[in-house]
Amino acid sequence: MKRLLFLIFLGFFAGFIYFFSLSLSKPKLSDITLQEGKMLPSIQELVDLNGDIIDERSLSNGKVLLNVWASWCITCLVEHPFLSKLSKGEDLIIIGINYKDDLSKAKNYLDENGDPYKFSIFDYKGYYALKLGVTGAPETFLVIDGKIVKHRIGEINQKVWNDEFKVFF
Amino acid sequence: MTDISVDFVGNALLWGATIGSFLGAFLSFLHKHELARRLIFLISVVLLTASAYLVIQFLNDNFSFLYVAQNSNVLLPVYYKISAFWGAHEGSFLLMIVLLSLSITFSNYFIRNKNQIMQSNFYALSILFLYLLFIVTASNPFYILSNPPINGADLNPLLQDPLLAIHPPLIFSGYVFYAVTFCFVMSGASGVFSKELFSIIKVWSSISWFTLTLGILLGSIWAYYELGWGGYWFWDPVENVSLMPWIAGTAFSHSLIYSRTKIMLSWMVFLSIITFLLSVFGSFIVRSGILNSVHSFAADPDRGIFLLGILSIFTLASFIVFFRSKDIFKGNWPKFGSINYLLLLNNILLMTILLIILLGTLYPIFTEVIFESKLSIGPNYFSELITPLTIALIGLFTFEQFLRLKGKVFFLSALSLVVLSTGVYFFFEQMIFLSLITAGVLCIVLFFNLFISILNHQTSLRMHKLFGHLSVAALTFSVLFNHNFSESVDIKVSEGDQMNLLNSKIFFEKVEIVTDSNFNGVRAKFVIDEEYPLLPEKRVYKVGGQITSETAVNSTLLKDYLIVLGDRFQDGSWSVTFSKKYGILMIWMSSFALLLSIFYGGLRRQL
Repeated sequence: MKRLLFLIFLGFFAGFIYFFSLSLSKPKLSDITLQEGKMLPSIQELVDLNGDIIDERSLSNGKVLLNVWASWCITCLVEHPFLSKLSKGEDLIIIGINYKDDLSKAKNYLDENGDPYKFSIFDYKGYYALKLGVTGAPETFLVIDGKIVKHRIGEINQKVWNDEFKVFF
Repeated sequence: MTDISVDFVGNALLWGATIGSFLGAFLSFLHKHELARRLIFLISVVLLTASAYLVIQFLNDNFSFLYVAQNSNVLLPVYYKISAFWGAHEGSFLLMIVLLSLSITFSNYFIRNKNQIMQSNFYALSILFLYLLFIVTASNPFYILSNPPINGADLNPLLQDPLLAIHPPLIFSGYVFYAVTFCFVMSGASGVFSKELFSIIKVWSSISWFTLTLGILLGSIWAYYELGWGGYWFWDPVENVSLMPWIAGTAFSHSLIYSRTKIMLSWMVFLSIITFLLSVFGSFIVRSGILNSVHSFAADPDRGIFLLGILSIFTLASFIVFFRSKDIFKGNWPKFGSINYLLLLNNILLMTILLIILLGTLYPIFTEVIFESKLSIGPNYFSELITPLTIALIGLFTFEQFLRLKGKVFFLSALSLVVLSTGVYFFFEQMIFLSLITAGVLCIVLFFNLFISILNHQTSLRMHKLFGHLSVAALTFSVLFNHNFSESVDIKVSEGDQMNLLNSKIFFEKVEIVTDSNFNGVRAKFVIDEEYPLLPEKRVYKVGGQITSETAVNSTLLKDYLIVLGDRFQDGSWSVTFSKKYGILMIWMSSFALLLSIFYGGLRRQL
């Protein structure tokens, strides 16, 4: 009786461990729709941090990495060195989207941490980000000739780059 | 460039405690009790120092600490800077460990009998060691940014509430105290259950039960007043995960009273193990990122694997002790109708409820892993399955209270109960009303029993029992009452409007601007039935920019009026949700009565 119960327990236990290891190793189904496969939304009168109007074509020409950042976003600060490294290596243009930020704080942030971006779109109210389907900062879009091929929500680092972005180069 | 490095002081303290607890467990194993006892004291001092060190960083706005930068900012009021310490994953685990070490120290200070405490120290220190190892390797709060930000991120505004500042630590304390109780039960299971050990276990189980009940209740009150959904329990996976150890703990506390008999002893040990494992399981499932809910913390699969490992070790070890114990699986099934028999039925009912909750919580995870489809289980699954079981449970313990009355009275009261409930059933032919009215009738029966006992001066020893069971019946009644009568409407209104909704007159008087150190917002003023003013708010937090809606509530004994401010339309009108919720105050009152009974029941043993 005792032995039988112990065996039943062991069976349950093994099933339990197996099931949860499986659930941990599987990637989560995302609650948020990714924007992959969509075309870049068109919007007039985008300005950069210096107040200059941005030519829309510069966003849809070749391989462009759009990175949503803000000075209040700690994870952005964490991924910043990786973006700096990236800006020196691959054949790609990195453009920032400064999201719901204070202009002086944003400039200060780039002065202190270096500026990996060709330029940053100043999206004070988050209108452009809204059109893009951004849920927060940081997020990163890989755009090839105007088409979003990869959308990453959250930090981007070497591992994520190798796993998800590297195939496009 | 910003690099992340480890902070020396914090990590040195944590590693010191980790090595100390390993050593302590080893010493207890070798029966070097005095050395282990001193080491335990030292470990708590070290862990307290580490927490104080982290709190100081919060108070000084030292954003070079990654954890501080992620969870606090300059504008936050001082008390929220302190509560931000346990506002996220790393800190809450640290807090839990500090509490655990303090409880072990406390036990060692008060229990001088070497035989009782040595074994339990071994178990407790092993638990402490595994958790500390987890903290230093996978959940370290002491990381430093080489290039700190000027200001930190905001603490989630939902968490900026005095109730919520104490709700999580109370839940953790409940878990921790159950872990300590578990250690003593294990020491009995691997040795002998002496009379003294029983009384130690009884004290700890009362403390744990009380703390966990209070923690869950405060969480529920917070959800009602702060989340603004007008509910107090959502069957959200994280809530379920805290309810499960509570149910197991309730069954455990009851079995403990009669564990002089062998069959109840087996149950008691089993339930103690289940309670402890469910609390560990709770932290695994919440922190591993398997679940997504209001409560979920930043997900990290590595942490999940580590926690799963810890959980497996605990499960395997405790069940091996359980199956090897010589007192387990002895004794016969108790006589039909005896107190032990009813207690066993009570355990089985509680375990069934537990299983229903467990399945409802795990099933969505299961389908996601196996079939790759997302689904969620609604509150109806839980309420429909659990309501009849709860009614049966109340019926069972009401029956038990009349067990001592021989002959007529007992027979008559049982009969009247049956007649009343069947009559009610045929009258309404509706499940909802059947359960509501059965709960009401049982409430009245229990109330009169209490009343008669007071008149006959029989209460001094059974007061907590009579009062506690009555409050459970009253709680069930008020929950059903709330569940079946509450209503709610969405409307569009402008300033100065007056309208009749849900049999109440609503007057929208005005909207004004409000400001505070860490948010800006608007506050509307409504007057219901010309006597209850309601002031709902909408706030925009300065850092991070989160928008929150502050529900306005006006409570009366029977019903609550709630208004939530929605969006403002172009023409200046507002979307507003108006609700009437029944029995909320009754729910809080009966819960507090239950808490009081648990408190008195625990305290009584010490008098």
